[in-house]
Amino acid sequence: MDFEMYESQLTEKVTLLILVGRFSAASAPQVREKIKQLTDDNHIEIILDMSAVNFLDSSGLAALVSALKCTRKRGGWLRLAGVTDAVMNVFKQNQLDRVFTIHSNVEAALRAS
Amino acid sequence: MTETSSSGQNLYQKYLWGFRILAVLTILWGAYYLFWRYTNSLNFDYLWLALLLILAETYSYADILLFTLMMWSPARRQAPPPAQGDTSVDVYIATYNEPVELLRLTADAATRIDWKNKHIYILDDGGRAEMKALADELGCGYITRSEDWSGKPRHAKAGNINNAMQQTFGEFVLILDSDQIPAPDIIKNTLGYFEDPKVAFVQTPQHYYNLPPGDPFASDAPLFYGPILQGKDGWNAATFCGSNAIIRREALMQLGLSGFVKEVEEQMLQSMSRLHNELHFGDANPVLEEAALARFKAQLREARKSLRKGESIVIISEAVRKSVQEVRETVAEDDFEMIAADLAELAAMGDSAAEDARRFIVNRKPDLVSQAAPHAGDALGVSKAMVKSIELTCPDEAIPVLPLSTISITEDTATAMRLHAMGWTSVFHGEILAYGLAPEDLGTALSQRLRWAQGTLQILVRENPLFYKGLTLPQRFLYFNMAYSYFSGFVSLVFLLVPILYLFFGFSAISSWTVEFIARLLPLLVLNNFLHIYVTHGLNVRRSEEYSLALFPLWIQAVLSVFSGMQLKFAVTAKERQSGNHLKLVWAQITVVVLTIAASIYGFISLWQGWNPNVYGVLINIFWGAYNILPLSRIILAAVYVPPANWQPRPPDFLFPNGRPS
Repeated sequence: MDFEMYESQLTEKVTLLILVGRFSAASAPQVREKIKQLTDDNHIEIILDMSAVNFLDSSGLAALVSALKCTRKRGGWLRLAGVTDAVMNVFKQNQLDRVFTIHSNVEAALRAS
Repeated sequence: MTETSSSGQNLYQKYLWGFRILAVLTILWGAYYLFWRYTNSLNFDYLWLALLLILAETYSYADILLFTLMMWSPARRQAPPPAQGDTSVDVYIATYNEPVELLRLTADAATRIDWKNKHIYILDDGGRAEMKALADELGCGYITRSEDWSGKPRHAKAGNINNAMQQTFGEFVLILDSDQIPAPDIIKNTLGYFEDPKVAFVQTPQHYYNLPPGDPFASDAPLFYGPILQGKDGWNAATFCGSNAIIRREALMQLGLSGFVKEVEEQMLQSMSRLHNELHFGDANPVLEEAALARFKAQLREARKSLRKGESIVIISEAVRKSVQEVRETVAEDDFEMIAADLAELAAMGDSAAEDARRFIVNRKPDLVSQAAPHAGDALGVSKAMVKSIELTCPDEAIPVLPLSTISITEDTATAMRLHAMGWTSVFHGEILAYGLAPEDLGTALSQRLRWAQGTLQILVRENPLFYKGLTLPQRFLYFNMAYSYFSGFVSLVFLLVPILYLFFGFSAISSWTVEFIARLLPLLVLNNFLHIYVTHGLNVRRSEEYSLALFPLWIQAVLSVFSGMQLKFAVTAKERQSGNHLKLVWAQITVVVLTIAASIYGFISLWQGWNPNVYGVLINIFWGAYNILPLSRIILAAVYVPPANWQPRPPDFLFPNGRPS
């Protein structure tokens, strides 16, 4: 499998989504679905662990921006953790590195709340 | 030292007009005879037999026509002056399981070929250490099959040569079987023909230094490596015989490339079909992307049509690549549209960074699209490999498949046929420039001939010469003739059985055995024989002619095995005498002889006793039977042939001026 996703409840309010592999056109819909489902269930504080994501394309970006919007609209937040250099470049190229809050790891993302 | 395969020029070569006159007479009379047979002599009481016989005779008549065509206009070549210079020539000595001592003779003589820029390679399909040692000792290259071949069909000798072609660089390639000891002049005397840029290969005769006295196995073929190849050469149909030939590498590469391209085409077609059927998009923005998908599928169908029409693969592949790129860009555009829209919403909520990013993205969209576009496989929901397989011009990807089997000499005749179809010319150079080993026992001789027969027949099944694109009309008939002649097995069987059936049972294929019949048949037989004598005069060929009739079981076996699609093994001809009683091999011939003799005796008795009042009929059939027995008995004798006690064949001394290597 090129892509996998794991979910875990870190605290009462904060959900952790671990993404593994290629975050691309093939896997983006899956992530969108998941975020929509989470926010519909009122899980509006989400940390995305990106440390195992080795590839990100425009579709992945779109899914992330959409996720950000979803959580924000409901008064929550979305944070990214453990972004690799390569993926960071993709953010930078699109000036999205300042739109997202990016932490070095999950603990840091959790503590920031 | 030059030795032609025919001593000097024979009647046919000197007086072609004589041949042509005789041939036309034979054809005309033959037509008259056949016409009379069809209209006047069919025995309706035994129609089945009558039809069999007349079909057999018709086959033979067509054979005469083809033979006449083949010999009508022989090539008259001036041998070019001995070549000079430093053109690179690779010498391939192909071996599988032949003994080292044999290879030593060949390789040793090869080192003395009079040509500066030659590279000798031993192509050892058996991968034996002693061969490598021999190669090292004589300073020859040593080539064996690489790992690319494991798990793939090996294609025997053809694959062996093909494998070597990938690893050597000579502009020309001289191919020698393991037993074919080359004369020093072999390159000098043949390279000159290649001044003509259309010449693809030069074929020289096969000649044997170990013919048992009397040549009981009819190995010597001065007719074939003489007038027949000359005749074919005249129509640019001189075929490649697998050894003792020099080939222009460029010709083979072109052959291989076109074969490779064909395979790539098929692959692309398949991939595109699968792609077309499996495509789907992720569900991000179905409406927009449905349109893109439909467009892409339409472009795929266009590409397939172009491919089938035979348009340039490179251009088609580039077009497909562009289509794929379009799809990627469509998806990316969609993505950025959505990103911009979402960023606008975020900006409306007060996020200034989102507004900056939105503006940036809107302004720089085209660049961003190509940078961040999804990979084609991800965008289309299919595997990367599948997309790669049609993206031929991807610069950083190696060509996905390099099918070794298609860059190859499949078999000798097929190679020549394809080269001719591509417009190349071939040359037959009738000078003996290599000395090889003929089979020394009947079993080996038969299996060799069976292999040749099956190989030639396979071409007819796979790539019918009559309809092969690119060949001239004479070429088509001459290639067809090669396979056609092997059907003579069935025809011979009919000719052998008719007298037996008549003498024993009175089954008459002919309505009446009368003077009328003889008067028409005899001149035809006489003319036909004169025709053959004219062509073969001065050559010792009686044996091979007889052999063709006598080998009828072999030809029947060849036809049946090829047309039933049975797997054919490439039996390497044994280069040493296999001892043992070979009478089992000729049981069919023995049976026919015994039956014929018995039938003749019975015929005499039935005449004497008055059971069969038809004197002419009986006598004709008895003579016919005797005529049949002669060649059959020779092959039976060949089965029990034992060479004389002190018979020690050796290659001509001039090949080894320093004495034979031991």
